[in-house]
Amino acid sequence: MEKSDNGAVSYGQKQFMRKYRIRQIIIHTSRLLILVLFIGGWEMLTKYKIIDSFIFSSPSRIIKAAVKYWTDGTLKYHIGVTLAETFICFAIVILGGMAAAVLLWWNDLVYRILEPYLVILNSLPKSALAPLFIVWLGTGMRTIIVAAISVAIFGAIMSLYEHFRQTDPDKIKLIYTLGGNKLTVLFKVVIPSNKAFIINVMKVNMGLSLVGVIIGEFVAANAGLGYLILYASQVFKLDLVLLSITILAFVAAVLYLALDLLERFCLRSR
Amino acid sequence: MGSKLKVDNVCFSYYGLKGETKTIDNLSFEADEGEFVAIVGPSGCGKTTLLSCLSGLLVPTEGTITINGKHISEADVRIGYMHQKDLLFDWRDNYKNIALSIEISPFDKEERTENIKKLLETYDLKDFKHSYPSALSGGMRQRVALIRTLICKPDFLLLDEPFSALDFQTRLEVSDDIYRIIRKEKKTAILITHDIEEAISMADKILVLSKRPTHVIETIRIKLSVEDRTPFTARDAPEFSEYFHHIYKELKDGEIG
Ligand SMILES: Nc1ncnc2c1ncn2[C@@H]1O[C@H](COP(=O)(O)OP(=O)(O)OP(=O)(O)O)[C@@H](O)[C@H]1O
Ligand SMILES: [Mg+2]
Repeated sequence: MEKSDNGAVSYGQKQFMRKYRIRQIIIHTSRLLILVLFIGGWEMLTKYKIIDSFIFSSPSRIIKAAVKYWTDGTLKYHIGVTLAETFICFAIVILGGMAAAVLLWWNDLVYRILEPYLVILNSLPKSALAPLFIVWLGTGMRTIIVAAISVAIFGAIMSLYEHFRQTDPDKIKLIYTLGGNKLTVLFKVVIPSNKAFIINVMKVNMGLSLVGVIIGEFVAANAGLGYLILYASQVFKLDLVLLSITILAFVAAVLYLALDLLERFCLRSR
Repeated sequence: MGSKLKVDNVCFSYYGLKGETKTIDNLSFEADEGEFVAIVGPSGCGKTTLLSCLSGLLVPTEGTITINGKHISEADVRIGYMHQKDLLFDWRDNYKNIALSIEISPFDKEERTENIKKLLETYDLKDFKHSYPSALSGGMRQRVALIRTLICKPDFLLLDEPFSALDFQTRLEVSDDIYRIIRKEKKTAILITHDIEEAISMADKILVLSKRPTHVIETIRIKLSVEDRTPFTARDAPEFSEYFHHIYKELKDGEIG
């Protein structure tokens, strides 16, 4: 706890901390309550047959399905496939996006020339390309990764470039007056001053990669959580559909939290 | 080593789609070794542009700039440029902000790293070595920026209104610091300022510039009859107000004419 200058905690500070703690308690209990009510309500509604558990499944059925599919290895396999595809897509989007944004920043002429094409590619709904990718690349992991990359990469390039370009010109001038060159400017100013934004782009694109991969798996896969959802819904295994969706939510949350930790680690000093 | 600067009939224009902005028009002056030159002129007349030319960032469209007889692109002098804003990087702590200039031109690295510690002590910043610029007051930030400029031992200093963001008292203190360093090490310095009193209190010579496209209207040598001249004592000199009124009038006439 922060203490005032003379070391004693004043009355005002104590009051403030009390209010703060009460607020925290309200927030956390409410969150828990929502979850309990939702799951409990769902279970009750199906138990007393107010809604049909064949269509809506139920928490207990999902848990049973989880145990079943985990022990026979199905879940592990499909989660693994989706995660692998997502990571590969994410890595390519971030590395490729950074490289392309740096290139465009480095050479304004290249940016000016490519600008209209980038804008069009960025605003095109990428799901429209999926059939094309299937014809060109067949079904399978490669198609899914390419489709997912196409969802995320153009936005990443555009937004990174836009931020690089807006780097404070005075700070760039400072580097030149200290005797630096364009490479120094890139590594001493442009990238560090946009560190927070780069991490933000990573967060957004982790999410987008997952979205892209699931879309890809819907149309062109025989493995992965997206495939599992689609397949299970077609054969009316609603327990499995909802189980897969729940797992997907967990996967998304864990990935997000990982990047959140990275962000805190990188920006902790400020 | 001091340096002798010679600016000879320099012209500079910015070119744009809306046409040419003629900014500097046949501007000439000299600064001797160890001389402190202040430049005053109406706002927007091209003072920063002139400093950019002197530092080699911009190339004059006409005319030449030489240091010790050599063209600035070949001259073997280190130029220290102090910007109007402190331009400290908020992602680096104060020590690393200063070290930035060593990272970029890494000769005699060790000696200069040693130097950072000494200068931080001199400027009462020792305790803030590892805190971040956001924790410093305006005056302290400007001092960190000053150390960053001085750590490379420049022979030649360009100061672009380095004090204008400071409150009056800090401003006097920091300008006193800079004055002492420049005098002690016999560096050649060019100071741009909006403040006529500041110019008189620090400079050996003042150039009054016209509005854009700018050239030198008048060069005024400052001779003050005070012992042990510093920016503080200079203000008590009997000639001070005379110089002030003279320059004030020049600037005013320049703006109208
Ligand atoms: N990069 C640029 N492109 C085009 N015109 C410019 C550019 N930089 C400055 N100018 C113009 O050149 C003129 C001089 O600018 P400069 O910054 O040198 O003036 P200044 O005397 O330093 O002004 P101030 O007293 O406000 O600092 C201004 O009219 C400005 O609009
Ligand atoms: Mg200026």
